[in-house]
Amino acid sequence: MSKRALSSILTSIKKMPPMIIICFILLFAMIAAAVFLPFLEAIDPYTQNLLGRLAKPRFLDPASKYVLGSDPIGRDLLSRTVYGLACSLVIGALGVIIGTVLGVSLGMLSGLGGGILDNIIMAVAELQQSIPRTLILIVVVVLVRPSVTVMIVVLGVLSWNGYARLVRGQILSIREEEYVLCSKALGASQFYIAVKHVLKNIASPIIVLSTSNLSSIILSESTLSFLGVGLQPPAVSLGLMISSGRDHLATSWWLTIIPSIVLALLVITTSLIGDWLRDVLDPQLRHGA
Amino acid sequence: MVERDKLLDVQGLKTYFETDRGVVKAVDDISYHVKEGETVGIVGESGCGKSVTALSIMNLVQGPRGRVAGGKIMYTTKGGERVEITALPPYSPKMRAIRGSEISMIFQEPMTALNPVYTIGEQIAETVCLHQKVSKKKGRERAIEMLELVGIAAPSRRINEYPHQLSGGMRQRAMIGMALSCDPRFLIADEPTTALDVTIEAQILDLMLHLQEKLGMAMQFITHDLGVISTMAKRVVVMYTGHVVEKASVDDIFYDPRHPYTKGLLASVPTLGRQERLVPIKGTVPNMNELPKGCYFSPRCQEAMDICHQEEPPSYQLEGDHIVKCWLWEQEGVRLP
Amino acid sequence: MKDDNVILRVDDLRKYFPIKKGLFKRVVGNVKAVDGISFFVRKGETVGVVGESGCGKTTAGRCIVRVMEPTSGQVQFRRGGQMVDLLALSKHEMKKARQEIQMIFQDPFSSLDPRMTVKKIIAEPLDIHKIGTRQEQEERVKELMSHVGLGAYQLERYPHEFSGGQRQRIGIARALALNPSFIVCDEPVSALDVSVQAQVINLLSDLQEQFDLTYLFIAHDLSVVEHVSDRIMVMYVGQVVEMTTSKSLYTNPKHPYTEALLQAIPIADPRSRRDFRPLEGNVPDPSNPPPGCKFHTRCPYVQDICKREPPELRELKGMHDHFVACHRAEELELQGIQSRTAVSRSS
Repeated sequence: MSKRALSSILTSIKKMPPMIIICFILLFAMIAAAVFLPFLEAIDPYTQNLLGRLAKPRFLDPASKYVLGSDPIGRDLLSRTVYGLACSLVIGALGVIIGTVLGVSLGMLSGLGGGILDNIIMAVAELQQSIPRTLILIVVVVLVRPSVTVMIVVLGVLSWNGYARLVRGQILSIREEEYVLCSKALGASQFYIAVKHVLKNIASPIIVLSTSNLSSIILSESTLSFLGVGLQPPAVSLGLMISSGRDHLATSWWLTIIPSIVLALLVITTSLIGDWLRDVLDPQLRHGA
Repeated sequence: MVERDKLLDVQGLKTYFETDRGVVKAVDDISYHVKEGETVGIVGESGCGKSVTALSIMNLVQGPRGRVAGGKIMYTTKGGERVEITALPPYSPKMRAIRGSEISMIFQEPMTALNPVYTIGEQIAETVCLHQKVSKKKGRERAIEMLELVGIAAPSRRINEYPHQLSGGMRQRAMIGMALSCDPRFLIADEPTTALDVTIEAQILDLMLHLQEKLGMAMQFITHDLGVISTMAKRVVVMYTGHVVEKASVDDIFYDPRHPYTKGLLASVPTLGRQERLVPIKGTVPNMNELPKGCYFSPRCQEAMDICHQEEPPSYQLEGDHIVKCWLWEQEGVRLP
Repeated sequence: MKDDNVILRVDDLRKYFPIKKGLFKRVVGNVKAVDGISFFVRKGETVGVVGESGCGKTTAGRCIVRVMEPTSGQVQFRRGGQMVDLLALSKHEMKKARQEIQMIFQDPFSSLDPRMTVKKIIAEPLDIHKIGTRQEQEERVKELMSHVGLGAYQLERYPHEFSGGQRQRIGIARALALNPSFIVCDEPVSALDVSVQAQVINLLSDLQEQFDLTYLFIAHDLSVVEHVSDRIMVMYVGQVVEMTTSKSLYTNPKHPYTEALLQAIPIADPRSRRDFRPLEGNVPDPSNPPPGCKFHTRCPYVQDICKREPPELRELKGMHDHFVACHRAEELELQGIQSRTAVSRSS
């Protein structure tokens, strides 16, 4: 990347709208909490304390031992929320990586290769598209005992088709652009064109799709866990917490509301950042056409 | 000049657009008129404001970003009433009655101007029914009549076809038929042949000349092609970056151009049979957001003087009806207000 | 005609696009975009190709530089004193040959990658052929930019920051990077504003002189083509109907289609005459062209033989370098452009 391009990206970072700055701060805070808090010995999400059951959070009861209160078997809600957040982030991030790698390579294979391969790949994508994702997920977790690894792989793999379609479509349209013809006229190989023109032009839509997929994978995991077909106790997950807190909603609402707020914040910040990235990555929008 | 034979009279029209980078003065204080039955050509390059002028006449400059910021457009209706188009709300009954049955417009790309899900016949009939409150059957008959008028063979079969089933030239004919279906007295043609091949272009130009002779309507012919303008127009308005830089009869524009831009334009077009080196205008049309100081043409002008870079020139009246907006005519011309 | 002067010789070039239908993509017909064209280009000259949309001129240009694989035919190109058939070359040999044959595209907006800086765009050919270090490439790019009238300060800008004319200059600089001897210009000025067209036309002719280039200049605008070309080839539905020097083409056309084009073109002169009836009808569908002469459906001089037998492109007797594909070329008295400028400008 040239200096000028770099500096223009820096300028757009400087011109970042306040909303996006807040999103970044929140996201970094959540990541930092998820990474560092588990190292603090003071909090452990599994220690039960039957004497401290259903303690109120400090903002309701300043004398409370627990910052965010405790659950029906006396486990610390703060540490559970942080663990749940970490779990969501790990599943989301790794899932997105698996989906992106798989989807982009299949999409490129389909778009550049063409022929029967293209037909098969697109037929599979079509087929998957026509079956509700939650249904597939439920069938899979019934067959395989759901663990964090299983959730990552399943959610990641199932998100491939969005990328594959996007990449294939982009390749087909970019291939018709005159600059690709021109590159061919200059003697460029298929590989050169794929790397220099195609990849560069599809990079930003992929990044945008990845951020939106990040939130959808996080939501899927929480939904499954909430329904009881995702991660199983004693694993910690935001979805599980929301689900188990439901029984005490009338009396101890914080058990449900706090993890829900964290989940919502996580999803909203990643989506907003994704939208902003799309604008920044386009040189035409960057210079204000 | 008797005011009455001015069918259309544009007086100091200003059409501005708000953009993120400030106000774009797409049309900035232009005046011209069209008399009954005559053809006025508006010529200019991309971004000169020639299409925005047309939209202003149709009262179709859409808010909230675009607005007529000054001046007025007067139009004399069939009944002899002088209407100030710019004072009418865009969707008032009066304006809608003017559009279509008084003033009609044809566009460069008939494919986008015709609705792909209706047949040609339905679209023409709809226009007719809308304005003349006639029965569907009458509308259909009128559609067939119109297609016949614009030279489409087997019109009773063709009215049942969809736009995509027609060739480019046929679509343009169909659009002309639609535009003329309510007997307008004024037709605005916005680059109607730019997307067509030479032989088809010749057909359409011929058709338009023939129809004008037959129906006697006035035309405003917008184009960037000097060849087309010299074929079609009696008087020519030359536009550059939202200004009218020169106005004269077609003969004067081509044989006795007075504005350096008009001269430059003529020298830069290759003409069949003359192979001498072209003399291009240097530089490019400025961005409407970053217009130069003084005369907008001054950075590209070969004859620019000091004052040209400082102050916008006024318009001068020269002998005959020749009007030019250029400081070079300060001595000879009569300064117009 | 001296053979060692010929730089390009195209022989019976054809490009058919199959029309596929149904689930199994059965071939039900062919769009004969280019249907057997033959011509030659001499070193240092400009050969213009004109015709209406769908006549196959762009496809022919693309087949010659082999961005598109033709269905059949030969494209002989002079390399190091020898004629080689470009279509018979291996990928590797073709890549080498490409250094000498370049292309300039019509659309100055889609022919430049929006995500590349000008420097990268112009250096792309050097990059592909692995010529020079980064430093040397940058020097070369600056030199090329000055050849086409761009400033070195614009090196790091993106295409959208330029006007149409400037973008076309970038495309020309890129085409010149490898020092080609032959350039196919595909409608290089038709997307530009009138006042800018002339700049690019002049630039192309200056570069031709400076670098001893040969052009194949494809355009639909007869006046532009006539202005830049030494010889002109007129195409109609995938075939060459007439080819001769540009002077002889506009003063003494021998094909009825050429005559129609000359009479149809709007001349920028209000006193020019236009009393010729324009051609009727449309260009026939290239997947289902009429039998015999493809122009017979619109030709005002049609006779029975035209409907039956396709005319061959032949050199007219007694007329050097004038090739026509018309049965009646000798007997017809066709009008050139002079009939339209009878009322001259000298008033």
